[in-house]
Amino acid sequence: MSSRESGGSDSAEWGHFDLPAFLDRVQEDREFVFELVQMFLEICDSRMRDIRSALEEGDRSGTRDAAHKLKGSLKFIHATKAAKTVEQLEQIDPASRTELAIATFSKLETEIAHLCDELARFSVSAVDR
Amino acid sequence: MVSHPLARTDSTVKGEQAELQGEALAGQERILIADDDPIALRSLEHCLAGAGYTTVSVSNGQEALDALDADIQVALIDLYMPVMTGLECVQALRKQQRDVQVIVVSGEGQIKDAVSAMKAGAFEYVTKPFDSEELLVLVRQASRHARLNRNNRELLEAVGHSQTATDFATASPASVELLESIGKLSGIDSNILITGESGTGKSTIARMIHQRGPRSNGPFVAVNCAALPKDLIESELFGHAKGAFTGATNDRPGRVEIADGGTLFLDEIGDLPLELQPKLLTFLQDHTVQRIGCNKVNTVDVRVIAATHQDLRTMCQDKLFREDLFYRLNVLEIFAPPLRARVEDIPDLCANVLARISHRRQSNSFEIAPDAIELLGTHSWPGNIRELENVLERATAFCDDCRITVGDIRISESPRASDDDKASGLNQAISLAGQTLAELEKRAIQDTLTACNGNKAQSARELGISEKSIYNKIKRHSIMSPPATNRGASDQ
Repeated sequence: MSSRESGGSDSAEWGHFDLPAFLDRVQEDREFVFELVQMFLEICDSRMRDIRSALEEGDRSGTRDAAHKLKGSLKFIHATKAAKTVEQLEQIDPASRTELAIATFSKLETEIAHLCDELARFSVSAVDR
Repeated sequence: MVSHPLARTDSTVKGEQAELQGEALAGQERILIADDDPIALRSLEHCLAGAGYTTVSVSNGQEALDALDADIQVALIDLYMPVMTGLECVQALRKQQRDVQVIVVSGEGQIKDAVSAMKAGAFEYVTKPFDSEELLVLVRQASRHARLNRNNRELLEAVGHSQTATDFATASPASVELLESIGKLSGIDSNILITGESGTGKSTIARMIHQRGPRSNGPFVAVNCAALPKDLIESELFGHAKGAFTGATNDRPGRVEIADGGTLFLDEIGDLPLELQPKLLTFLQDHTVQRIGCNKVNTVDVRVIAATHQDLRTMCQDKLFREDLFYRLNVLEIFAPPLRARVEDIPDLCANVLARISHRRQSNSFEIAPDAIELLGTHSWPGNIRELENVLERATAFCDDCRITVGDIRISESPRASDDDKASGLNQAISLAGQTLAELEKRAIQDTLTACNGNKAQSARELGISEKSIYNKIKRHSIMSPPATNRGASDQ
């Protein structure tokens, strides 16, 4: 199950995570990519819930910590777009208005939804192979 | 298919990439991993298992401390974790004087904290998501480092010596004088230049000075100027900013900055490229450094110890080394005597080296017969202690029942002739056979210089040549001689 067998469509097919870079980092071990994707899908909801509840409580340092955690996971699966957005959320000045954090979180939710769809599609295609 | 590694697990997968790294099969080693992100944890496990390591995984710093046992020599610890952070974990390990070497795993933008962790005693750091090859190189280095530390400590405990006295606190007047010099100069917070032939233990002396000096609680950072590629040495010493050159993906502090508060040991300083010497000079004068591609100037407080087997004075005359840099480095000077000038130390050195070997191999203690020791005393040891170690290592491979006899000693070079033999000329002829005239001339000059305590004029008279000739020959043969003048407390 090497990347060569995927017909070279890795980058065109997946816009929300960088599959070629991901495969390159794990020495083309597609099974391991699949494993990490499953792990991410398992923990993603709880990570997002942590951010949301910290935001709702007005807990800026809790928001930053929860965002930092999600960012780490996103970087490991090479979801660069969402990682960038969550980094913005992490770096929002605690003294700034809450609306900015909420708007950034909303953007993040959309990107995570797209990412999870894509990861689910990738998982199905990986199992089919 | 998915394993959830938040709970502590032992992974014993041996990968196809397992390879001998000259010392031990990676699969024999257990590596501790601490990270609260299961994806990061699993990625680290996968990378290490692929190289044949066994891993123990935990999700916070406290669990890491609890999980450490005597078999674990390397730990990969995330900086930000609940309960106990990576930095707190490193500090706790340092306090407990544990042998484990910690590689800190940090996110981008946490470099400052990673550097703090290194100052607290961490071996190195990697940033997430890490490059597998880079990580494995670091793990191997850390493992080797830990093994050496452990061997050294256990050996010292076994022989009941204070640390650092191992190679020197023995029988010869030269060693006693050297130890006294180290004791005197350690307390003076000035730069020191250590000179001496290869294999005479210059890096050990540097470490002893650091450990006995006022900066012993700070880091000891060693850089071998001869081992680094010319185009990497500036970045390694002074650091770089992100984007400063191709491959500079992160801001990275140099070794000079990492040594802040401690000692920077520049080994083989004679190999520092001429074009980099002004930058080092600036640092020595102003105590400031500027990373490549960065305008910011950082102030650092570092004591510099440099070492060389080359004759820097001659190199200065030949414009191969900056004279102003030489004088900045050579505030105090220590000369490491060659082994042939301290043959009385050979029995003790043998005992120490053999204890280390038996410990490393977990074998019975090696013994060496008195006539074998006597034979070792007749050799000229051009490779010094390092050569003695190699000879003993080979002997332990050949000997029976852990007892080294004369027959097990295999020395490639001819033995040193005794004074009586010199008089008869017989053994001298045997020992000289097979060597080129240039080698013989070099040896004659080296031995005479040592016998004359580095006094070139006296040596020239002994050799029956002019003073000018001896200078020319020293230069031609790149002979490192004991400094005859300006030797201060290091006079041997």
